[in-house]
Amino acid sequence: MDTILTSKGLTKKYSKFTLGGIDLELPKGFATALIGANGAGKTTLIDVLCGVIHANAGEVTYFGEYTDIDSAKLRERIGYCAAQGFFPAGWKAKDIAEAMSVAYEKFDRERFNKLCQELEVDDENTKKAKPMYKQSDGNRMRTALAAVFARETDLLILDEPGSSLDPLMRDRLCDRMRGYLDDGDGEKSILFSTHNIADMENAADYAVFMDKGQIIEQGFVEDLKDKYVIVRGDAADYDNSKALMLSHNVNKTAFEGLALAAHKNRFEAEGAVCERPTLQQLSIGMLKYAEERR
Amino acid sequence: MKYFNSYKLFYGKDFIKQYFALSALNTAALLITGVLMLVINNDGFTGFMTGCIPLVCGAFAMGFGFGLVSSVFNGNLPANPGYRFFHSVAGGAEHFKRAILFSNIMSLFPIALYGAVGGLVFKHYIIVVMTVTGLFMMAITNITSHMTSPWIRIGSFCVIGFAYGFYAGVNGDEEEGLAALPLNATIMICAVVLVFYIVSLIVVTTTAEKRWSKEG
Repeated sequence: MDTILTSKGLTKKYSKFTLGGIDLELPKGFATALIGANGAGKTTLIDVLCGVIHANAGEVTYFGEYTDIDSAKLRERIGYCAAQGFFPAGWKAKDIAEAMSVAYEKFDRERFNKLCQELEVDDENTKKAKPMYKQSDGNRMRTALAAVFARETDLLILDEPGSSLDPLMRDRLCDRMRGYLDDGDGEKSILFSTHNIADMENAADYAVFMDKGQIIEQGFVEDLKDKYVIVRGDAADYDNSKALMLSHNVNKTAFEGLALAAHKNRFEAEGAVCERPTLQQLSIGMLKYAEERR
Repeated sequence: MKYFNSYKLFYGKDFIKQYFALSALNTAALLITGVLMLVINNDGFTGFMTGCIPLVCGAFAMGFGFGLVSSVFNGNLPANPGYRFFHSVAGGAEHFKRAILFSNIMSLFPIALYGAVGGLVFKHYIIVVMTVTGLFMMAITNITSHMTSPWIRIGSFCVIGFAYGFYAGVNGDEEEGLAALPLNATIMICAVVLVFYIVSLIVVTTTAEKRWSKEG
């Protein structure tokens, strides 16, 4: 697999939380979803990968050649957008454009303004533009996304880009992400984090699941959907099936959960029904499995 | 140009026109005040202008200077929006150092202009002391990386005012009022604060990269 980014033993320690060691391989030319519950370490991992904070141990290789995130050439190729409060609260669109023009050589102001108009937020030319603190969370995120998409980059790293967007805007974001990958012709990649994959399922080609600072599973979405099944059956048959299930959801009448597809025949022999999971179901099953194992 | 661009990274706005316009406005207000005081022979008016206008103009000059410097330091506070943007930019530490120097120098201009006009034109040395107090608070901001709290600002005025009065008392000055404020005390306070400010500039530029790398 051609990789855009690999990490080995990446570790970041805080007093009450440790990330890693993270061994990660992100495929080139695809969109990777970093999925995990709140507090799983997604933002910490993204911050380390983008150089906002520095790791205590381990190494990361970007584009097969760079190992120092402080390299100006490397940072020019990475487009990063934080989950909240990316730009100072008092800034307006014009201030963002000024600062981005200083920070990045390949920031296109015209494209930024055009994207702001498409995303229905203030651009540089808006009269009586509002500062960030007067805008909604959704508008702030749209402005930040406009700024990052207005740059010429090879890797986009977006921290929960969909969390404050309405469903229509999330759908547009997915389209824009697809457009970014298509324009790159296999040379551009995306890493985005989410704790709610349901609305961004179409955007993900590769998935990395995290729990408590560790990666618990990773792979191409289609491969993972083949590897696992959703098992459904009557509550009366639950005892026969539960040993092979990874996650469990049982009530008085029925049970449901995630299991390895390798056991599909045994489940069906017990009268249960096996289905190919959606990424949402896979996420819930994985995270429940991790939670139960703690 | 590099220093100007580094400052623009933290401040965002194209502030040059605003900067010179406000400085000129501030100084013009002070000059007009002086002229009016010469023309209008009224004790009430004179008293009002002597007390109120220099204080307002002084606070404005210092506030504007503060704003320029604080924008830079605020970018390095993890709790502030914008922190992740600044720390994801290449060469952030170098930009930070240049922006601190640039903002300090730009802040000096309105403060110095205000002080020069007030002190030299009107011989109101309290105006010079106020501008020096602004310099003192900027020195504290440089050393601590934080916007000076209101208590430190009030305290700074009190300490410098006390020092002024103490010096005047020790030297047996019996006259009252602003006009009696001694030149010697003004020069001494200015010199001490200026040295402190220069030390703060050296400290902040030599520790800028370390401060930038330190995670909150």
